[in-house]
Amino acid sequence: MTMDPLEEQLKHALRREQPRAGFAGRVRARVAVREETARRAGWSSLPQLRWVVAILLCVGVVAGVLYGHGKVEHARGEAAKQQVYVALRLAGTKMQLAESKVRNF
Amino acid sequence: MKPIYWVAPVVLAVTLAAHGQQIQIPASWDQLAAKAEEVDNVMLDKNMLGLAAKFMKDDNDQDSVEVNRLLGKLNGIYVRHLEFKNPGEFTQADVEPVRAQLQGPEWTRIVDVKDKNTKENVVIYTRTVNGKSAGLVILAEEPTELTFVHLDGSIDPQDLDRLSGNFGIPKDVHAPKANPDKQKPTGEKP
Repeated sequence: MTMDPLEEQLKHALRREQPRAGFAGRVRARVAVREETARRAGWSSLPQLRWVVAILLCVGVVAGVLYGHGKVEHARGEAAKQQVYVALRLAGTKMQLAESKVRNF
Repeated sequence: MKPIYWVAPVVLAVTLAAHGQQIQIPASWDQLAAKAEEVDNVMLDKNMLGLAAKFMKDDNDQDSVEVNRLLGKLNGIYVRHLEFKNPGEFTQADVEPVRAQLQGPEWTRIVDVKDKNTKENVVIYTRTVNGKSAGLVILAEEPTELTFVHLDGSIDPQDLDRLSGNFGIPKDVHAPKANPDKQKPTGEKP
């Protein structure tokens, strides 16, 4: 019994073929690499979210530094103001003492 | 060309002279401070005065405006005030090094009051540079107090009058009138 040419072609195309040596090993290695990459990327695989977090961190650090600097500056300014008052009070008191002595002569 | 090593010190000296003259307080005052009951030590240079002025501006009242106007004229404020429990803790040897620095041609003793009864001695000096006022020093000796106040800048005693009654400055402070005879004491009370 002879097969028609189409059937012949199909049989040829669908014939069982042995993979090349080491095929299973190569598949397992590629799967392992993909799983590792996915595990490492995690949430940061979203590039926009990564940038947002980085910017927020930077803003937080800058704000913290500015706040700390402002507090130190405020304390220095208040201390300087109080020192000015002490100096003026002493200057005024001693000048008044001199004036009272001059007046009594 | 030879490097001119002396330029830097000369420039520094000229700059210091242009920005005022700080009176050196003798080290013995530090030892006295250890014995004192109350010590006030104020050292404010131009930068610190600027910072103080900034914070006074925030107070936003007329008195602060007046103080700010005064601070604008100053290059520095230097104060040493020692208050002792008992009289006789300091001697003339502690005060003389300060007086010696106020003998230069720029300094004029406008008031010198000695009260032998109360043992109080107040001297007010003004500094004049090129005909312009450049500072004011008050040196007061009392039985239990020793006070040095140096207001470095274009200030005259009348500037303090305007602040009397505020910030702990006694009311009705009037600057004693300057004595035209330089280095001549205003008076000595027997």
